[in-house]
Amino acid sequence: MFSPLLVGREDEVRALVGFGTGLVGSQPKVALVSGRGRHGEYPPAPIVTSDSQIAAYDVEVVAALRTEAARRASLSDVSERPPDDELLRRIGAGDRSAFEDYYSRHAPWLAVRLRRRCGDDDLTADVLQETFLAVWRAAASYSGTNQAGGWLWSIATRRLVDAHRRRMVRARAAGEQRFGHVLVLSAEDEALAGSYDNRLAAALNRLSPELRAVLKATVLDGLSVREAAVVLDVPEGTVKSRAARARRQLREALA
Amino acid sequence: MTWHISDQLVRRYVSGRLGDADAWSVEAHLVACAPCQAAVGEAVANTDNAAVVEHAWNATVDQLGSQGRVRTGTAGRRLLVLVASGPAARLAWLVSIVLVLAVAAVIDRMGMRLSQPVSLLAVVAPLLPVLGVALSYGSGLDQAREIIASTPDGGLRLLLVRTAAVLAVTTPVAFAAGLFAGSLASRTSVTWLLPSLVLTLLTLALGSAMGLVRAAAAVGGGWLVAVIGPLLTRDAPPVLTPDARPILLLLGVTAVAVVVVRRQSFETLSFRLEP
Amino acid sequence: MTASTLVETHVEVSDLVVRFRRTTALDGFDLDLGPGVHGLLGPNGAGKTTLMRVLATVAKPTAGHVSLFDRDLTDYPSLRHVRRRLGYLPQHFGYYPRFTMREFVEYFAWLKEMPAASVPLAVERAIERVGLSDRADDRLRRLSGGMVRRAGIAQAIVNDPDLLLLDEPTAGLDPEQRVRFRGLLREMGVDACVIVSTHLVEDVTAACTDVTLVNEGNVVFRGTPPDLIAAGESGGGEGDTPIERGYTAVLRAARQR
Repeated sequence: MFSPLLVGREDEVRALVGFGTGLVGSQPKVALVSGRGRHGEYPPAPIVTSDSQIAAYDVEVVAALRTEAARRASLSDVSERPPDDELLRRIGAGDRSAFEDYYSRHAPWLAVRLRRRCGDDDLTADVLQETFLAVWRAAASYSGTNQAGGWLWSIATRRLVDAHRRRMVRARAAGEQRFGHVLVLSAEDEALAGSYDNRLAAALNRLSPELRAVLKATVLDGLSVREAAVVLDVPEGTVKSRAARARRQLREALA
Repeated sequence: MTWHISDQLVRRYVSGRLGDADAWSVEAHLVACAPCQAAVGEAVANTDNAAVVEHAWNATVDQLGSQGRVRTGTAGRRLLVLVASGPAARLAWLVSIVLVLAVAAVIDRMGMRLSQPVSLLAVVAPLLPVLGVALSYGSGLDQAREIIASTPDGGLRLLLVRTAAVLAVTTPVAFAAGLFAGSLASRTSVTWLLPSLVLTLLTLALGSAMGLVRAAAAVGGGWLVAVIGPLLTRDAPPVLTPDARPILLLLGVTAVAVVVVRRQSFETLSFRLEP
Repeated sequence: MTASTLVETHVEVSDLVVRFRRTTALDGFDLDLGPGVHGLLGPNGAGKTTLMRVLATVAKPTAGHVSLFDRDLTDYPSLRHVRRRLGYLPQHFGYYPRFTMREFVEYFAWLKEMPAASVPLAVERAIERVGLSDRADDRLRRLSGGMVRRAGIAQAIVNDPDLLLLDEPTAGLDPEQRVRFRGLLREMGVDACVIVSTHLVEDVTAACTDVTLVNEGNVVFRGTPPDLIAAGESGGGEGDTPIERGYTAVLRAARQR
């Protein structure tokens, strides 16, 4: 049994936790994925660490990883169908069946990801629907290469923040002072702690839920500080200070 | 990809039984990995989320209307949109420039035989960009000026883009007209180019102090006086001679310096009317 | 969670004086606003439009201090930084008739220096939020006055501004559109500072969390809509609705001073 690696771009990790060159000694180069690229690019796709970098691991772990990768990659129906970029091009030209394909590919993972951030199914369904409507209308504006997932997520985050704003308006009108945000936690992380020392995963787990939530919102989901404040229902200043504390604690844990 | 999400992880993730740190890496991976997206799709079919996905699909299909004429966002598109708002992109402007210059060129060609002392083209051509600049950013003539003034790019930058667009239109047309005007070519085809640029720059520079429409009127009027004045005393206008070129150049450079130094004055409008 | 603590957006005006030639439009005006929807009421010529223009960085103050997002507007980089986070819709605005609505909103998205790749999506979203998705590609000259105004609102919100300034935004909107528009205002007021200048008192009661009444270049009232209504009851103002009575009562008291 092994715990997944956190993969991403090393330069972004360095920027995040303030390391110099060469991350954590002989540990594999694990990193956090940054949600937002510069200059408004779609969130950059994560770059998986290369084989040589995970060679530090147990041979068994590496073999298991390879088998899994081979199995997954051999799903023939996946490798033969048109890529996302092509689908989006067709959707932009008005192809409804391409839109249906696109939906069946992406709605599931998007739904799960959104569900973990929304408190309930109704909100998730609303955000999902608004997101794909926007995709239908604006598919012709997609101009990236292999960035369809990040593009989709950036649309979804805007709709997610809008939905949270509407919720807050309704809550205030009803006189509620606090809109509780449900964090989806798991009691089973212990079982997944791997047989090796993934220090970054462990360090992340040791952060308090609020700190982790802020980091997740700003780094993984690519929200701005203001958007994170709305989604987490926490003052902007608190978002900034929690993000700074989280980074400091991570740096200390990994030093 | 050297790793993918194992089936067990997929199941745990989809059923909400995965901790934050592990879910983080799953989500980061899922954004870009088609096979794992498919695996999640299969797993979702057996959970509550399937109903959510289905429900959202029905709602989406109901509202699928027409698609808009959306275009990609690139720097080229930006330039196009900014230029299209100014006078340079208007057919009426283009037509009137062509007409004016054509008439001037014809008169020059005929006047060649009458040995007229000055080329009408050389007088008229430099005035056109000045007029164009006044139309670009004149008070009240750019209808959306108040909103534009509140944007970061709406001041000098927009003005420069539009000025460049105006020059890009008037210069080739004037050049063509100059060629048509025939053997006065040595006098007409480029005598107006330097004055064109210098007058435009002077308009911008003066515009930082007195508003572009007034500046355009002042510069245009000054040019006409400089050309027509000597004609009344039967001399060739000194402005159009090669000797004047260094002076014009100096004026141009000074104008550029003034614009640079006073660039902040382009950033706000002055309201002389009621509050 | 109250609005004032969620986000740090800040508009701070102290002792603002604006004069044109011989008229004084604003005479020692003070203002301190955070997120939320703030109403600006007052008779014509009271100085509301001038205040909006100063806040939109379109007009320069004669004297006094204006600070937006904790920045003075004196140097060029600050000015540009503030303008990127602004949205402004003046009372009278022109447009290019040949432009489609989408191109009009896009034009301002570019002028506000939004990142290039995000422009098409942001334009689409802004048009959606004002409810004009199906008319997005019609030329502006084909649209009714109310729709043109909604296009103006769309350009003001396209960059998700931290400070949204709307001068008489509901002119030309029918009641149903006004209700929808107020919903949009409330949504934006969650994490942005929205200032709406209006002479429609009902707009104020429905959407604003607080009201500032302006008369002859000065603040004569600052408080919530219920406070204004209370002022009407005690001050004996005239009007058909409680808030109109409050409005006239406060104005009358101010003119008598």
